[in-house]
Amino acid sequence: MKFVLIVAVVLLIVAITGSAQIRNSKHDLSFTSTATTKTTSSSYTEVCVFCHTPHSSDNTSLLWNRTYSNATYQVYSSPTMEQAVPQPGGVSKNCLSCHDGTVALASVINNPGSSGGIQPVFSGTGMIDTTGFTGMGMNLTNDHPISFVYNTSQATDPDLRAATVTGSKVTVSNAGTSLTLYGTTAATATLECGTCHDPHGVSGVPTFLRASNDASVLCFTCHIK
Amino acid sequence: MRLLNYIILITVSILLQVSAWSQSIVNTKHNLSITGPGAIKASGETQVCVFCHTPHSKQATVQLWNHQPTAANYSLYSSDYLTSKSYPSGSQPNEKSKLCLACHDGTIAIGAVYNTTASGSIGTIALSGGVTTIPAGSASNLGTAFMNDHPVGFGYDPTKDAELVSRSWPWTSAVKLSPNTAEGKVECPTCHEPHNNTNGKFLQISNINAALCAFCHNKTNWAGSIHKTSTQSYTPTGSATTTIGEWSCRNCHQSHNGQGVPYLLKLPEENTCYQTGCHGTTSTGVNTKNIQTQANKTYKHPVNTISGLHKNPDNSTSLNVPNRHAECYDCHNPHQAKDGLHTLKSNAVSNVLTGAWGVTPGSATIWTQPTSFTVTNPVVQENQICFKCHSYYGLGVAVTGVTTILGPSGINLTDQAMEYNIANKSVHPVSVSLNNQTGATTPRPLAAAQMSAAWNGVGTQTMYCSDCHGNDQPTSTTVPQGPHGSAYKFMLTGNAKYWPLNAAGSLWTLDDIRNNRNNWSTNLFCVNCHPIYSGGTWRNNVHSRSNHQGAGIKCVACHVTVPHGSKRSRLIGYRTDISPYNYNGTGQYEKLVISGFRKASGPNSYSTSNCTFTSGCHGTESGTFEP
Ligand code: HEC
Ligand code: HEC
Ligand code: HEC
Ligand code: HEC
Repeated sequence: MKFVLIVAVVLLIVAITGSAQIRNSKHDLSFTSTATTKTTSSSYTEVCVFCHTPHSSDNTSLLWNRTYSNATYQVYSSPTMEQAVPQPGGVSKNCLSCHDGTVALASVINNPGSSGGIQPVFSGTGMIDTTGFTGMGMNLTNDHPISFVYNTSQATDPDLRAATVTGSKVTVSNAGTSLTLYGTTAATATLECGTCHDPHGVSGVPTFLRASNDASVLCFTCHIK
Repeated sequence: MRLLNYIILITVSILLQVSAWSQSIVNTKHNLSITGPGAIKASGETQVCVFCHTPHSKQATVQLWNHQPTAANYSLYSSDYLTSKSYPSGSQPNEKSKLCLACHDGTIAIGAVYNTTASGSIGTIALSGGVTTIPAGSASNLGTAFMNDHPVGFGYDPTKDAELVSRSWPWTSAVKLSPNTAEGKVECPTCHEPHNNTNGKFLQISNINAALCAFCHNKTNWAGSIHKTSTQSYTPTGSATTTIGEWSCRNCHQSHNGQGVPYLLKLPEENTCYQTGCHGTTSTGVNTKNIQTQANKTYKHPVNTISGLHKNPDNSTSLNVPNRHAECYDCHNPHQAKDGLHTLKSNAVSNVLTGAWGVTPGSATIWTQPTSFTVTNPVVQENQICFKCHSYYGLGVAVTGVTTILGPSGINLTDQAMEYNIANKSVHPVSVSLNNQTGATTPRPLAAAQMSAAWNGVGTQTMYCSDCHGNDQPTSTTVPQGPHGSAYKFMLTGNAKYWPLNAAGSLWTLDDIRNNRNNWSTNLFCVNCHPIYSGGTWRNNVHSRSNHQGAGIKCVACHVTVPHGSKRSRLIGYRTDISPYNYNGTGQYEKLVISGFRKASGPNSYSTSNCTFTSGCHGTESGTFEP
């Protein structure tokens, strides 16, 4: 089973590489990238490896290649949000393995090359700076709530659009924009960083967003305001 | 066929979409993006939420707040009324209100956000036309002085103010405190929902019939008051024509930017009542009366001339020198007032005065100043309203009944509670009927024949201060009645309005009556109720004595000039009495002359022995006279 998955992902990786939006984006940390934050190791030219490996020890389908952060986060809360927001889970933890600024960007498990390969080198702290907007740090109280079950909120809040379940895919859609929740049933599907963001980038859309937020359409996809 | 289904489906979904948007923030002035419908909007920014929210911030915020905060310190709403209820005073607005104030106090640029849409940068979103903050002078710019804005940062305490609706926590309504607990405060979002303008002005619930105000405020007897029930048409500034009843609270109050401070009044004090369509000179409503003109007359309550002294509630200090004043609210309660004037033979408070408060004098011995008072709220008798200002309560000490305060009609103000004291020998029956005037000797009331037909309840009837004091056009149905103002001294009202001087400026005499001089039958104030002489008959045998009818013998030779009440029966005064009870004119009979009087058993039973004099008239008589 695992083998099939690996094959599938490897194929996909190959497929994505062809038209990669990720190339030269801020998620391209390879030496040849045009991004500001990237490795200074000239032989380190792979893009996907900062996040994926075909030989992962990680048990998710993502073939994750990074050390997770073991931080405890201050989660979002507000007087108008009834449900308690849990600690980040799912794909959000993958993002936070770089974006909480506690794990070195270089903290890749399987580096390219034989017998463990070479560790990439970064200048400065080698971590995302948490004083800037891209590093959320451990304080998620001022970030859009994540990792909570969307339907639990929607059930009591008439200002949220109902999710649609198609097979095992749970989405929220409006006016041509469709965003994916993480989970196979409405009762379990959570909102994660990946609901709004595609770490590989979408052509013509800034900030790794799944859809352009011009006219705030991204926000209006879920919020009826 | 399938195609048709599709078309229908698409059309329906488009329609649904449109109707969904119609209530959306997108169609409101809070859509500050370039597509916004308002005058104030961005020159390039297309995002709507970004002016207030960001999915990621570096600030300590609630609700993903993105706007830069205001650091202003606000001067808070306060009022005597809240103080009098020991209502807990307010605090600076809490964070919920401050979010709104970050634009609406006018100190911070509308576009000043933390996280602009240019990835990861702090900055200011440019607005078209170079607008930065909400322009000064715009109704949406509340500034930092909140004395004329509905209080925010205030707790909600129906135990302190019983006219607040009490409900259990948490409130399950769109209108909520922040937080939604007993400790919560009224903040901007209590009344406003910034994303939804369905109700106009971003209100949480519709304010038709002032339902939003009524959600919290339950003014006593408001439901039956004329200002709530009137169907008279009214066109509020900037709004469509409606009725007084529907516009309700908003006729007089405005939640923001009013000119009347405190109480959120549209205009200062009486000017709120004088606004167009109401009680002023500009244009009254169909059934409303122009009070402003009345209060501009020569003899008047100083409604228009004194301002800034009224307190709510007033007390004996705030009504006394140097704070003496009279605002509409001192006699009327606009939340309870109803249509309808008083009727004769009663002193029960009239509809127009319903709900006002007054004072009831405590007991005092004959012809002394009552100095203890109970607040009567609401008033039961009209006189209780008048006593607030016209007794020790508002005048202070005046042992003789006469103050040093010069009244508009040229005499010093006197103490009416002393004059209407139940222990006095004679009074007009303003406080109690004459049968109940315990100080009076029998027969207490006048004989029926001494009264005009309308006053046929001798002994049992009572009367109003406003039976004698009021408007100078008492028979008009278009001008307001009541003692607002008059061209006649003492605001004397009725057909006949002259006392103690006739229109020519000389003192009234029985000769005027006997020989039909000086238009006595239409001018002599007393004849409004007392026929005195009619059908060739005098109504008592003292007046009929021809010796008393000499042209030089004035009414004020025997009667007190202030005919409210007297230490002696039948409003007789003694030569030792002081001015203004004693007219004290220069002529021999232009001042009180009697030194002793005793009441006879009937109006025609008087003889010379009922009066004694030190000299003159019929000389000294023996026996006991009233002291
Ligand atoms: C910055 C980290 C990062 C990099 C670099 C990255 N990925 Fe991913 N990738 C992710 C994450 C996170 C997910 C899960 C996304 C989701 O939940 O939708 C993912 C998912 C995938 C998937 C699963 C299918 C999908 O899109 O949901 C494939 C295939 C994939 N990546 C291929 C690649 C390839 C090929 C590259 C290099 C060209 C690459 N990724 C680089 C983070 C990264
Ligand atoms: C391998 C580390 C890594 C992982 C994993 C990662 N990122 Fe990033 N990401 C970065 C770096 C580095 C930057 C650039 C930071 C900078 O320039 O300040 C960045 C930038 C971004 C930006 C800003 C893009 C822009 O144009 O400003 C977004 C959005 C973002 N990441 C989202 C995500 C999300 C969502 C995930 C998870 C699905 C994720 N990232 C996972 C390293 C990572
Ligand atoms: C995938 C759906 C989705 C998208 C897209 C989305 N949100 Fe949310 N958002 C939610 C849910 C669900 C909540 C939780 C609401 C609750 O339980 O009160 C939430 C909460 C919030 C809150 C906090 C509300 C509170 O009560 O504390 C804000 C503010 C917010 N979102 C703003 C935005 C903005 C701005 C955008 C666009 C950049 C956006 N959201 C995009 C689903 C979404
Ligand atoms: C509800 C949608 C939503 C979710 C969930 C969300 N983001 Fe974002 N994120 C956005 C939007 C929209 C922007 C673009 C903001 C802008 O234009 O400034 C953004 C911007 C960013 C940026 C760029 C910095 C900035 O503020 O401009 C980073 C990094 C980022 N997101 C990471 C994450 C990570 C990591 C998570 C999960 C922990 C996450 N996001 C969850 C909507 C979301």
